[in-house]
Amino acid sequence: MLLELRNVTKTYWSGVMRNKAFHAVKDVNLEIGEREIFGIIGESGSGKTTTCKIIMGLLKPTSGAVLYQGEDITKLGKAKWHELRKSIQMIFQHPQMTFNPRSTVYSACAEPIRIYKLAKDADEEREMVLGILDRVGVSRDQLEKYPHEISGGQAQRLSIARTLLLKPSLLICDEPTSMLDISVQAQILSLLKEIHGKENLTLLYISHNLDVVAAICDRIAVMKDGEIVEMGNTDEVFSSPKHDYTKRLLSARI
Amino acid sequence: MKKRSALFHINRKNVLLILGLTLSALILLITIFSPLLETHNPTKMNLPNKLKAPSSENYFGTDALGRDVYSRILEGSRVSLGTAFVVVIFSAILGTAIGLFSGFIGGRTDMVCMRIVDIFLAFPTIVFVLAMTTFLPTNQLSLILAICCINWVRYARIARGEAVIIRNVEYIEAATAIGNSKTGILFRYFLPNTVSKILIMMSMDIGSIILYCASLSFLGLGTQPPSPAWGTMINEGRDYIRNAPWISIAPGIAVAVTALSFNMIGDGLRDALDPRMRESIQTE
Repeated sequence: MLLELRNVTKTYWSGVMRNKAFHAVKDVNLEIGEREIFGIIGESGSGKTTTCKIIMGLLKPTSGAVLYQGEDITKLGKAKWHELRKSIQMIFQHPQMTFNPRSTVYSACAEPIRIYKLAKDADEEREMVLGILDRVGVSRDQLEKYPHEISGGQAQRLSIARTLLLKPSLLICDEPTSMLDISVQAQILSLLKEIHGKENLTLLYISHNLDVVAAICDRIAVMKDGEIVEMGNTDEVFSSPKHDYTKRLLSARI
Repeated sequence: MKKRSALFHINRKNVLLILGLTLSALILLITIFSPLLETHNPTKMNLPNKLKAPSSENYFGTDALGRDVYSRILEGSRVSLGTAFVVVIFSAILGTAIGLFSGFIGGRTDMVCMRIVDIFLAFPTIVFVLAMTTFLPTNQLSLILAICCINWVRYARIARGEAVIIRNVEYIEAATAIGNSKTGILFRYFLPNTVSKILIMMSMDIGSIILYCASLSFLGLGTQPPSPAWGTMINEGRDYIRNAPWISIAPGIAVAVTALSFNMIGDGLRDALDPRMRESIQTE
């Protein structure tokens, strides 16, 4: 198993006496194998994004363990996380908001190279950036533009490029296509599939769009109110849903 | 494709900025070369020649001691502008550092920092500076120190406000996700995204600091006679305002023009520093 979540819970406390508990994620267990494309579906507020952020180490779970290659990553120190970030990468939901508004496409893409000192000099850095941007299909005339000047599709390709530079083994996609129009959605999905085919990559794909999930995922988990209500192979879940919520979700498909 | 800097985007729309920059550059040049431009010794008294109206000999007339007002304004520009720059730069650095740090850390630290800022803000500036200068010797340095002591809080507020906004933006999470350290995020994300607001504030502030110094030296703090500062000069002309108004009016205009030109820079910068206000590449 590449990634395992064991009884992961994230609770937020509110109220004057901090006595009202809200479980954003509640007792989540899941296992993702290597080279798998695993999907999590559920409505807004069902805890999908929180789960992602816990795996990414952006949030600490209230309880439970996240095992990555058998090691509990919620207890890692700063330095180890810094190394681990190379293997776990994430694509965010709002493509244009993923980048520093004050840096150009080129420097946004070069950022991981600079942080992890992947290139010896400026020339090698430029080569790496151009190479990866070509690969994901960001055209060269975009290099000196700012994030708000490029289209959503290009921005999402850029964020995929940026993560690929670090050669991750787990790529978390948090609704990467929900902000894009349908034709661009298809392009991004096929890009992700192509990359998954070529690299030794495991995808955790979060979405509320059932068709997208059906198209690319091997296995899926259905989340509702922070809990996983159903999990299994995509075909099985779609053809014979067991939980009421999944049934309703599937019948609401247009 | 031509290289462009990420900070400045000057285009046709920025008439105000260009005007402000030109005016301020002119003022700065005059200040730097003031000894060459002075027609008389600014502190030399010439009693027979007192209270002379503006003429080709004394461009802005003479004061009650027969000193040339024009030369005194030029000499005073060094004191007034110098003070303003030192105060603005020092308080901007201090305020931004504290504000950014406070907003970046958040939580209790933030709360404590901001309550301190609130306490400072509750004091009227003039009263605070007056109180401060009673403990300090009467000279320009104490004035600078006193104004800095209260002026930094305004920068701290702005920097903190920006930091709090930035902290919750998705690109900060993305930055963490691709491996940025906390310090990296602070310097590569928070600072550049706050610096524009601070620069605007600084250029606006120069005008008001000049005016503060003027009012404080009017009250007898800071520069002492005979050395000329614009505020002191306005004060000196007060007694003669009916029959020799130029003694006060000329330095008054100098203060007003300087304040105006720096304010114009501030207004212009607000537009120029926003990358979203930049004319799109395609139309260029």
